[in-house]
Amino acid sequence: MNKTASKSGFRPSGVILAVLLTIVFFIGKTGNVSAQDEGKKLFEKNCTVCHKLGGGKLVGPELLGVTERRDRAWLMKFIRNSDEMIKSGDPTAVKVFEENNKIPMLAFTQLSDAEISSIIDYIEKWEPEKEKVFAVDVTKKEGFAHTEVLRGERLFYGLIPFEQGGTTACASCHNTTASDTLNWNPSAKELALSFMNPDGMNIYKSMSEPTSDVMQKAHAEYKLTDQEVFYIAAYLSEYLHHGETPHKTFPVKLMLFIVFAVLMTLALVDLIFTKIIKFKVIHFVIILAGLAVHLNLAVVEAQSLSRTKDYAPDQPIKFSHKVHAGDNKTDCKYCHSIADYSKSAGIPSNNVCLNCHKVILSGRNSGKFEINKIHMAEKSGKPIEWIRIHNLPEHVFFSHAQHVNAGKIECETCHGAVAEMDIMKQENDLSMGWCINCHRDTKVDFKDNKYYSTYLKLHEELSSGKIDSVTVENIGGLDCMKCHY
Amino acid sequence: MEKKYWKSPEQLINKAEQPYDEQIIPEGKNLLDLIDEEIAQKPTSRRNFLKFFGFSFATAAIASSCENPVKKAIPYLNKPEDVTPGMASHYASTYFDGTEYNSILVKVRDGRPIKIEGNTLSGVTRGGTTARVQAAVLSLYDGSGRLQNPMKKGEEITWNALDTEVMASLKEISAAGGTTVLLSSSIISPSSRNLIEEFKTAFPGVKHVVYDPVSASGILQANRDCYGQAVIPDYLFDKAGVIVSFGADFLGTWLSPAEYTARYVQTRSLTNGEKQLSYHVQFETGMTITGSKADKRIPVKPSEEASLVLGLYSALMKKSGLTGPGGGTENEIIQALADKLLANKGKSLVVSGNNSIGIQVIVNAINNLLESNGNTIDFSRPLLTQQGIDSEMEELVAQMNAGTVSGLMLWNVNPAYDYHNPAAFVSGLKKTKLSLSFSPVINETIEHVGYVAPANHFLESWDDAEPKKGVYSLAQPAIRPIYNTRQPQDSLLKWMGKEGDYYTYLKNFWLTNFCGNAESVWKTTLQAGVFEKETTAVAVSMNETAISNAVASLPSGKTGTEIETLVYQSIAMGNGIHTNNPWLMELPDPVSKVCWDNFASISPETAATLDVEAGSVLSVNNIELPVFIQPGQAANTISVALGYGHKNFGKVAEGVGKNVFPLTVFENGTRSLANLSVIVEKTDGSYQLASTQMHSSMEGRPIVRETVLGSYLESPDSGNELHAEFEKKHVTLYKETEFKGHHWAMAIDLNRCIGCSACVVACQAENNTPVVGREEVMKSRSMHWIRIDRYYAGDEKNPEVVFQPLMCQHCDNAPCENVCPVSATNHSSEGLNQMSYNRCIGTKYCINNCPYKVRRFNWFRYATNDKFDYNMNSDLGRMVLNPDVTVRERGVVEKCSFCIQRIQEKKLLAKTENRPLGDGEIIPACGQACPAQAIVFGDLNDPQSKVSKLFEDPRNYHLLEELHTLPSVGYLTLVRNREENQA
Repeated sequence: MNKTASKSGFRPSGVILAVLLTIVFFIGKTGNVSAQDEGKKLFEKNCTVCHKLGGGKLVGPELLGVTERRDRAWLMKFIRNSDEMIKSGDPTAVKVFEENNKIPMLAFTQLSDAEISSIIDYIEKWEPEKEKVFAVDVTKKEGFAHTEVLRGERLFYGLIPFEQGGTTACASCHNTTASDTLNWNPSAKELALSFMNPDGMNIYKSMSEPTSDVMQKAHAEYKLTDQEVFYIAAYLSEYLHHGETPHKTFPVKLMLFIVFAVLMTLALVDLIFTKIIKFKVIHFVIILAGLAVHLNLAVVEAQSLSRTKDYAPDQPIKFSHKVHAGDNKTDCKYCHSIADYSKSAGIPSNNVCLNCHKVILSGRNSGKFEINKIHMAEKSGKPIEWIRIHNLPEHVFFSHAQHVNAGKIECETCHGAVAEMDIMKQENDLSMGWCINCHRDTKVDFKDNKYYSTYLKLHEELSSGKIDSVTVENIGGLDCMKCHY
Repeated sequence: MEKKYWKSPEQLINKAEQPYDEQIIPEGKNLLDLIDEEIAQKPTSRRNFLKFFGFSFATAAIASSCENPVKKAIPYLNKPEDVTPGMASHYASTYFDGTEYNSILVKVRDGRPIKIEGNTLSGVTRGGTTARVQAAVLSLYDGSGRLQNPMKKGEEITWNALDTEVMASLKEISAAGGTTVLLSSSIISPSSRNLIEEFKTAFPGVKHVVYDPVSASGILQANRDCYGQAVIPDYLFDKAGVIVSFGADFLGTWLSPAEYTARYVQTRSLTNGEKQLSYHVQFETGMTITGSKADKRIPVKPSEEASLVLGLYSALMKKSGLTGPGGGTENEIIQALADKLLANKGKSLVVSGNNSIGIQVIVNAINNLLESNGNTIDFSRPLLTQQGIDSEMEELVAQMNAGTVSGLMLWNVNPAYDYHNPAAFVSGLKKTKLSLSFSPVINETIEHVGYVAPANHFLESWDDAEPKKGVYSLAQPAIRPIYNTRQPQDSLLKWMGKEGDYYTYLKNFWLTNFCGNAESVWKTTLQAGVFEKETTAVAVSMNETAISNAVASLPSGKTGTEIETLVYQSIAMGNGIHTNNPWLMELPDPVSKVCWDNFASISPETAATLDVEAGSVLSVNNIELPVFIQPGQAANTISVALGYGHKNFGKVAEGVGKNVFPLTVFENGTRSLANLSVIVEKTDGSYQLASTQMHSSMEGRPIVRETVLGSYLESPDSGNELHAEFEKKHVTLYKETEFKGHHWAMAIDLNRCIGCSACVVACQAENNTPVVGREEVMKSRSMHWIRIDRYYAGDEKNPEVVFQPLMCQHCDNAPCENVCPVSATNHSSEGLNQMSYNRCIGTKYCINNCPYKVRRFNWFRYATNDKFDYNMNSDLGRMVLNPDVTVRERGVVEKCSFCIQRIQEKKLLAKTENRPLGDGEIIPACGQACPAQAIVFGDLNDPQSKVSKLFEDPRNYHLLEELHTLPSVGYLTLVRNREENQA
């Protein structure tokens, strides 16, 4: 009994210990995991703009092994406010500052000690990712069996469910038809293109580990098996061959044209030959109405020939002026820098995008997919082929420098509220009448710009009160050769 | 007495020029009959046409309302710092084609060189250019002429294979003690000359021979005999009060025309209060622009020149009280000239374009006697652009035929075309083991050589130049090589086994020699393009025995009436290396106004003796040449332009004209352009030349106004009395237009204009004017926006010539504007007569109503029509187009715009820089190209501007001002330095 008792006395304690150990272990483990996770999050949020972990120097130094080089207390202090440390003359801090082109590191006073500590923990424990092993042939990009493609298509369109859940079909976010509404997600075609590109996306990897917050949120419920991804890959591969279905609109005008043409013909035939309807007024009304409709169509169509107001094509990158110029308040001329002195406003070159996007790798709406295209362009050496929205006929000479720099016209005057456009569109019809109207109304900077000092007669008229201001028209703004030469 | 101007012999004798149409309309029918017949033959009736019209309109409307084309905007991947889309950059560079030097700026737009301008920093050319320099940019985009890959026996090979084989060959020849000759045109690049010396050391047995097809061998050798220096001295035309030229076309083609023009016009200008003009006498055979500008021009046969030069020398010696050799022509002209020269001792200059050593020695003797050396002739800055000694080439060809030359490398030479005996050269060439050409273009010689290592175009190359001693300039590439080509210097470096490219070599050479090893000096020099070293005066002393030797060697003057020929370099073609350039092909010769051909110029009386007329064909030593009757041509002579008749030179040059290099002869140690014993026969053939001559005749109105110096000094408005009279009569019922801002105007000084036509090509390059070809020119459909009208006056045997550049006069009361039914042409608020192409419907009323005939109609869509296979119908050729000027559509009218794109550009620049626009800031293409600065552009509303002042000049007048058209272009009367106006 005693023995038993002792045994039994021992047993509970053993169980408790085991349970305790297990709990501690679990708590410890979960605690560790969440600490590491938080560290990772904080690191990615705050540090990756300037630092890399195991990828060399970016703006600031490489952080791999930094915990061995510096002691923890120093690191904590430095991260919190490096500037203070440098000013106080800490020799290591000064050295680091000078080694990095004297670019001061931001102070992170908003972070708690625990948070900074978690970042340091994350850096300390960070290991390069291990190549993940997949159950299928991930390198296969072409030559899928027909059944695999079919299965992929059904999965993509949500006709058959995924094994481990996920209710919405891929196609509901990743368009398979061209669309004129805003959709931040890459279309099926883009996915396919990226998948087929040797340097493009690894669909297996990105499905198992979403590349950005945006994608993570959207894909939270999807846990696809490798086999399912394989089928989808098969479908994407096939998709490129038959391509996207174009966006169709019902040809209202054409139908109207045909219907009236038929009605008119019938009326004419009846009027001359068959004579079924007795009242000739009806014939005439039909013919007159038909002519009116046709003429109206002709006039409207002729006027809009090569005028593209509201033109808002899909661009190769889902670039949002709203995000850049609106939310982030980037000045127009930061990217369109040559507008000040050249005819052209200049589509920014790839390297201008990279000024920021070297470090901003993930977008708020589109995740990494769109921004990655800039990097892909740099890698492949092929510039992005944007679709030109504002087109003027070749015999029209328009100079941005003239309007932006000399005329001090705001970009929005012609281009509309760009800062509110997710999809850039042509705000005005850019017709000659539109140009001329503006030239009639706009006043020039006649007194301050010394160029106009030689316009003596206009100055006389101005001082004598004959005119109260000088418009573009007064200085020849309606001359043909202002724009046509 | 009213002076009678005429434009051609036909007009003088009032004979109607044969209209082109007569050839295609059979006798007894008129044009309407023909049209009816043609319509009857075709299935398309008017009714069908209407059906098609209606159908096509409907489909077009529906189809185009469906979709607009998608255009792309493709930015740079990494934008180069110095390239801004939509803005031009200018790079200083150097033009040298083997004969002519020019310091240039290359205008590059979005990576494409599109225009060449003169470099105003250059002390040599001072911003002036010539027609050939202006046209050089087009040869960059010559898809049919340029070689695209290295070749071996006509087959393409790789550079590596070529290098290996050539290096092995060179080594083999060197090792065997053989000779390899590098045969080049004059090389003025100091670093290349240095490189050639190194090449000679690397491969013993390499020799360098210079061959200039049209050389200055006579001058070089004469100066060697007289002064012990084989150089061409600097001729200071600006310091000369009396200029005598024996056949030297120094304003057009002789040695350094842009430089000499700039100097010459300084002595011919009267706009800055000058009271003097130089006195210019020209003895010449054919009519050149230099002869046209002369105050006295004497037509002479080539064979008379020796005697004239000697006669002048004798007269001068006699009048100076010295005993001279005696002999030569003695006549009133020579005596009077001798007096004039002696009165201007130290201020006179005698030059000769003859390549005879003897004649050049006597010319030296004359200049020496007149104390020109040190005053108007400067030996401290000799010209280095012509280095070829003709006899060296003769020796080389003999050696080649003797089989003692193992290797031959040809650099910028084409002897199979331009040597006087091409067959001898080619047979010698075939005896060499290694033959190689660096030619950048296909030519007659490359079909005979083993290897072709094509050179870059000069706009793709690094280079330097020393056109005159101590005057240097740099050339930098303005574009990457378009084809798989390599500049010869790079090839030489490679074959020598040297590390690095020619750019590194050039830069090091400059750093060591000129820049004091300072990188900054190199950079600023590269930016400026030019660099000058100080020189010290060089005194020369005459070797008297040379004179007596020369006098003894001179041929006795012939007096017979045998026909002699003189071949000459024309303004457009030069020695024939630019023949594949369509702009130059269509450039009318300033005097004959003929383009797209060379021809036999003969005087009207010689035509009578030979029983030929314009359009007949003469056989000259079995070369068949169409006859052109040239007033002022010396009797019993035939002048023919060089540079035509290429056999294998690209599509434009193919089959145009005849090659007359075989008419040159090698005699007395130099190559002579004159041939005194030719067989001339009349043939049965006939040939019509494409001429712009009878275009736009102004029918005897007071268009050209001129006077003589004496009258001008008495009353500055002499010859221009009509101007004041007409000014008084300008009355109008309408409200006068007021120009509240600028009022653009242009003044053209007829005294400065030499007719060189650089402006014509410059305008064509700037304004995307198409080339229309020979057939269309014959139909008077030439498209040039600026033309140079040439009028003859006086004696038919030796007429006076005037040049008058004519472009749209931008009339403030323009007749063209009133008649346009759609108001496509109207007046701008700045005084421009504007032309809006998109509005024009092609009624051509404006063309009919323009009294100046400066409007041009687009009969075809030249930019895309394959029938006009020149430069605008291919993607490569279109690269030269100026993106700031619309390419005109078929069916619209166009004309000079005063380079509105340049006006707008400079106005904008001033606005953005917040400053008033400066006078002279806006320069139209014609004015910028002009080596004589005859064209001044500016704002009449600025009383201080140059153009305002010139408009106030009593010499200023307007064309047809009696019509009250109020042109914005003013001309300054021509003032000649002679006793009285020739009637």
